[in-house]
Amino acid sequence: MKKALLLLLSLVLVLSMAVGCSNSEPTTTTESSQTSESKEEPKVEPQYGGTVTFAYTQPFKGVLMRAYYAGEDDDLILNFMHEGFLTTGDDLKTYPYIAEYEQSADHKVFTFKIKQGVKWHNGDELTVEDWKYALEVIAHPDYDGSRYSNVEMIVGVDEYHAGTADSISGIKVIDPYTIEITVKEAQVNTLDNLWSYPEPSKYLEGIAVKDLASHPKVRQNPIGIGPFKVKKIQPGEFVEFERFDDYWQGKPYLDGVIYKIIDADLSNGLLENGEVDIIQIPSSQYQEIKKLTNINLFEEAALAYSYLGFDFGRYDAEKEEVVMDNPKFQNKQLRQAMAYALDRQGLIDAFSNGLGTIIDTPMPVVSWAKAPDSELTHYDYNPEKAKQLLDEAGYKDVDGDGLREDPQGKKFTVSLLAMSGSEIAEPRAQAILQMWKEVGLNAELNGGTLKEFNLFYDLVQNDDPTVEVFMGAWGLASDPDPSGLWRKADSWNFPRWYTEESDRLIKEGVGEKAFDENYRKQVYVDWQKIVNDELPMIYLWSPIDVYAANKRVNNVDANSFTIQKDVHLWWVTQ
Amino acid sequence: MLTYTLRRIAVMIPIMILLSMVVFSLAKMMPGDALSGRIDPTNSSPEYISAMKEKLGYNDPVHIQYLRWMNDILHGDFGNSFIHKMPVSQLIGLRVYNTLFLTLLALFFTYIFAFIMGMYAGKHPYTLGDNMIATYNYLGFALPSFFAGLMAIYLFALKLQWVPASGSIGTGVDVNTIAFYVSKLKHTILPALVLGMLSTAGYTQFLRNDIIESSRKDYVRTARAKGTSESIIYNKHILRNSIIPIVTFLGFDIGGLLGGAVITETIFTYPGIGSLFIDSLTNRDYSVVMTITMMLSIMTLIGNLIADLLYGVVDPRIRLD
Amino acid sequence: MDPVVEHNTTKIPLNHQKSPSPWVIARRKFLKNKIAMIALVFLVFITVISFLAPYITTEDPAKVNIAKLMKAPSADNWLGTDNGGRDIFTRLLYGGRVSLTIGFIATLNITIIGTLIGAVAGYFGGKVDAWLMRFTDFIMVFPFLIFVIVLNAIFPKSGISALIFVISVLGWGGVARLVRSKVLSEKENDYIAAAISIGTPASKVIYKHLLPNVISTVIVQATILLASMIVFETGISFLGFGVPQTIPSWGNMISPARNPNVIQFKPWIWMPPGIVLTLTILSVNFVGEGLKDAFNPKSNR
Repeated sequence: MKKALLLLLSLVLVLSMAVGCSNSEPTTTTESSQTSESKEEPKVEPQYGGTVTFAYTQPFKGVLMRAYYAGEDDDLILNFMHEGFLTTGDDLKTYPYIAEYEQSADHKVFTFKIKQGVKWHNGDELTVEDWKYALEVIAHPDYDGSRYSNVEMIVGVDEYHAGTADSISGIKVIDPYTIEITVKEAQVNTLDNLWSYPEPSKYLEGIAVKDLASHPKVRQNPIGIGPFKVKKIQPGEFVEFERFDDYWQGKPYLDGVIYKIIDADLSNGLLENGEVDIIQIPSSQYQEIKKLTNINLFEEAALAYSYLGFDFGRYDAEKEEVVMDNPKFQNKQLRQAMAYALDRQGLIDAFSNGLGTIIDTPMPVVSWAKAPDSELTHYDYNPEKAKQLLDEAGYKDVDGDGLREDPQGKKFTVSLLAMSGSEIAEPRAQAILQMWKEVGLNAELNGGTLKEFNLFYDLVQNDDPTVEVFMGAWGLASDPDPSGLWRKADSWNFPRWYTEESDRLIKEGVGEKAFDENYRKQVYVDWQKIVNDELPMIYLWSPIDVYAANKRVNNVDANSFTIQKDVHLWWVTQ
Repeated sequence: MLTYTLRRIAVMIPIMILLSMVVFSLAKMMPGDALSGRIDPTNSSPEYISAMKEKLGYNDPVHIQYLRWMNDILHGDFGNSFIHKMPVSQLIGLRVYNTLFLTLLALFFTYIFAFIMGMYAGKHPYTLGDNMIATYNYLGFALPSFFAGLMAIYLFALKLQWVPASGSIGTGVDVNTIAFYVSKLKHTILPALVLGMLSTAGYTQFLRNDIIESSRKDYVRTARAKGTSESIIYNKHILRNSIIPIVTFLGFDIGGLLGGAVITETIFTYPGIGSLFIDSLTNRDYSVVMTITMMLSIMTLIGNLIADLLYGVVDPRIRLD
Repeated sequence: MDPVVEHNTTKIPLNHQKSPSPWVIARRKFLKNKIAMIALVFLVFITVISFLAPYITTEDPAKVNIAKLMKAPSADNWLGTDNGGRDIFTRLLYGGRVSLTIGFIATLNITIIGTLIGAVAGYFGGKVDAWLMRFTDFIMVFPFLIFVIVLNAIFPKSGISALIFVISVLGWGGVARLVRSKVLSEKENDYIAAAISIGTPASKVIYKHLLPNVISTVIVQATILLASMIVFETGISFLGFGVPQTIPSWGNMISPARNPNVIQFKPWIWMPPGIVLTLTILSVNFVGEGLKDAFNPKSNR
């Protein structure tokens, strides 16, 4: 379940720092060949027992509650100990899991029936009250996490959030296993966005919402309904899990799991000597780890992409809409020329060990809604074409200094805003500038320096006048709906670009007719054709995540967002 | 003595107040919510920000805000860490023991090596051993701590693999078992050695020079003339006099207990106050940055005070008033 | 930030003999000091090749070459290339220019400010002294790093000059204290009292009588300071808060070593700047030591 991923800046940070990028062989984007091998192996009966060490390379915060956690560090912990009512499949669609559901003909009322006999780690039984409690926590006036948008669609949430109602009128508990949730309007992706993680309402009873995130019951002794329960937490360093025998899908094979924070530089050695079984590897060590014989590698295109955005104007906070009043990059040929001038594969190979897939549309590579490549313009590396387009658009070198002037004959510079964060950030930005210079554009770094992450987004969000082209990254949700980042009304529409047609299609994509999946897909393909041609941002690449798993661990499989699939079925050959 | 101490403390108070004002203004000048860490920087909704600003009283006059902030601080409320999602005081509490362990261990190394090398060099000046120690001292002065740390990691952790390269504790060990302390020590020893061995240089040289100087003093000559054995002269007469000035350094050492290991902790990703400070700076977790800044400044002031007082205790010729 | 190693310099005897030409003696002594002379030659050599970088190498220190990233040393690139495919040797020269410039300018500024404030405090004593010294205490605990960051946020284009400014404005505390104590003891001398009693203006007493006697201390202190300033600049650049990453400096060149892969497998990226840096500091210290000996009439070396 990665619904909550949408727009999480912390994720973007992780991405921009780790930027694992493309693989030269496009065949490995969905499921790697090694995966199928490891699937064939377990002809032998699974065995009980053993412990698996799962490593991560950044210290974790330990906010172990789905409603509050912020980063991947805690997400990975929660994946072992807790589960949601619904689940996301490899194809990024939402499926029933602990809850089955029916919806009314107008798609506004959902009736969920949950499985009976599901137990919390402390022995309490899971009921729909736990779900109601979770929704109420997020909707509470004192809630200061970032998940409000996941409950916003429920009828009566606004009143509850404002403190004028004691309960959320759209949530009706029918019996301990049945709950009815009414949403404000029919949307095809309601279930993709609706918050579906329960919280232990009895266990957390009596704790004020504002104290939850720092309460010992969340930080030191969290409980869930997942296959492993927390045994010991050493803050920032490791978490020890032990098997939860009453897990609703049956007793897990493993005795326990250790979630361990390791130093990224040791991943290679620790994988080799077996101290670490499973890890998402740092892309900088890809070459070394690839040579190890005792591990399987899983390479998956991540739900994220990097881009170079053009600034078209500003966001009018009062009217809550985008105003396209910056003429600098209004010329489509200029934007396309700047895309043709970039050797994206070269950048991926040089700075990300080749771990990235080139994209020409802002859609996850694995999404069912992604437009086929045949329908899109591919902006391959073609400096000659870039020069030709610039000539056509009137950007010519009139004063003979080797740099192009704008069509009015005035000096033309492009300033690139780029983030600091990793040691490759600086050379990579310089390389991009050089590629533009090679086609005659006078490109320079904004302010002469890289900007720290927060300052970067400060400048972009507040439409600082110096912002022209900026290199950002987005994490994506499983649902393809581009709302939130692309519409006229979206404050996170950073290029400050929209067209009536694009807005119409985005609305259509979640409209009434979109309940027909083929129709919805066609809408998104049409929309992608627009943004692919108009190019309000140069789409760079989608990083490829590489997971390594020791061959002794069986039943391990990865998809585009996790390797923690069915962890209760993991078992080790002893 | 007492009046001097009281007067020094009285003088420190205005400095602290001035310092708090500077920290407060710097925090206000920073983008985002540097003081309390309660506004989510990733939430850009204008309504959210203005509502939070109203709630936190950021629309009040500046001096009211300052007084409220000071009041909170005096009541032990340093705001929340945005990144770590917990009160800053609690966060610092988690890290402070690691730092103290590291710096005290480093200090232990510093003094041990300084005594051994300083005494040897002082006793045998201008010999091969003295020259080697002098060479070491020059290197210790010249090696920047971050480069020394990198070299140590490269050699001892990565190439020779004697000790882990980072962290403060291994997994799978229970608190308060022998394995726990062994693991802790294994993780701390390399950064502590780097930290301690570099600052040894200054102490060694001081001790050596002092011993040489004392050995030329009249009372030593007298003792020697009387036929007192060399070892007694050194251990009884000279050393006792030479150790005393070193004690005054202890004040500065105390001042640097929390903040002296910023770079070392960062390089070894050792979870202490210093690495927390740098991480918070990079992540703009300003409430943490401000609290640590205040803390380190106050520690420095206290350290200077102790150094001055010790100086007076040790050397009665210094008039303290 | 108190880079001044005070206990080192307190060894200078307070009342040295008035010799007819102390400067000549000092120079003679210094020239005879082999280690100090070698160190000085090395220092001059590093400085000269750094500042003549454009004439020594034709490579562009900023030009990224994605075809040859992180290549080990070879005939083309004597010290290999960095993570942007840039020649390490070239960047070492240009980096030296930046690091040394910051070191020299900051040292000069700090020495001037510190000497002035210390001299005034020491000479006038009383209230002036008390206030200036409290101010010095305050400056010495001023939150330095935060100030740098705020300045960088407010003046994003300032780059190196903001750094020099902050170091200069906040770094003089130690020098001021030292000069003050030196002036205090010099002031006890009879000839000063005599000058004051015949109505010589304060500025003249400080300038003509006090400073010349304090100057040797200041010079020795300044060399120590130069070493600390270079270390300081590289240190905070290494941590990412100093010189903008786009400008090569020794600290910036070492900072890729924070990446595990680089520290373990690409030592040619971070070791050369580290070694050159250490040698530079070492020679500055030797020069300082030599100067101290040279000015010390009791030393017979």
